[in-house]
Amino acid sequence: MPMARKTNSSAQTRQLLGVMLQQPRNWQYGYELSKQTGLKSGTLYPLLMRLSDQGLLDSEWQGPERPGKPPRHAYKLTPSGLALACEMGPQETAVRRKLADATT
Amino acid sequence: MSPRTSVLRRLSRAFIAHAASVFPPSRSQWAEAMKRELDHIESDLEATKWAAGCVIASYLEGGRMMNQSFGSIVKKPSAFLPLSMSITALVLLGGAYIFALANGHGGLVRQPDEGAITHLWQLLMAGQLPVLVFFAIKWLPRAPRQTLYVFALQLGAALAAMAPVYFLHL
Repeated sequence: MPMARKTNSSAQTRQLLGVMLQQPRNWQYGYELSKQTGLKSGTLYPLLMRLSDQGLLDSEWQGPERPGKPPRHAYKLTPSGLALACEMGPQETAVRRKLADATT
Repeated sequence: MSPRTSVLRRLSRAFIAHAASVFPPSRSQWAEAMKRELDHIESDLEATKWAAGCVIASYLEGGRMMNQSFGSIVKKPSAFLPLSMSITALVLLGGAYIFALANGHGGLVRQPDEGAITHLWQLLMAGQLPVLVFFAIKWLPRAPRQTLYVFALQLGAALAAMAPVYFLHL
């Protein structure tokens, strides 16, 4: 079992959490997250793995949206991931509002 | 599909295959996730950039996990004890050499009657052998590569401790 690092304060982590928080209930894919955050895959995936190790991120395989395409690995913040994202999000107020909308 | 784009797509698949081979087995699901994602990227150039990034991710992750394993193994008593014994032996010889120089003996000289320093040095060097054997039996099957790195460190320290004996003809 990989050991999880405890720090989640990097700008890239904030960026990723901020983007994932915009659609907290939706499963999101790696490539789309990369486009939305502007993070390259070499930065994005180590972040996703770390967040997943720390129990901040859920992942699951989802069937293809279009026929002929392979299943995709999708990601969504866990409740603790959501809480962390709320604490460190750049637009905290907006994020809290979105979260409140999502949970009601 | 133009030949150029087809080459790029092939290159990106080669990158992803390489990344998958570098990822530690515990991360195989993530390697598969990156590979599958590639098929959802329309542009061949984008796919190549994506795959090149995945190679970087695999190196980062592989390196991180290897450092963790190495760090955890080198902290085991059977790993650091031989290291510290070799270093102690070296310090012992160095101290004796400096002491001899300070007392105007012109350094250490070989004596027919081996003194306490010599016996201590021999004990330290010979005493680490059973520890090394124990370390090898316990850790080589579990983490061969990391254990070999620790062995290299132990060997380096032992050679450093033996070097003065060889070079000073003690």
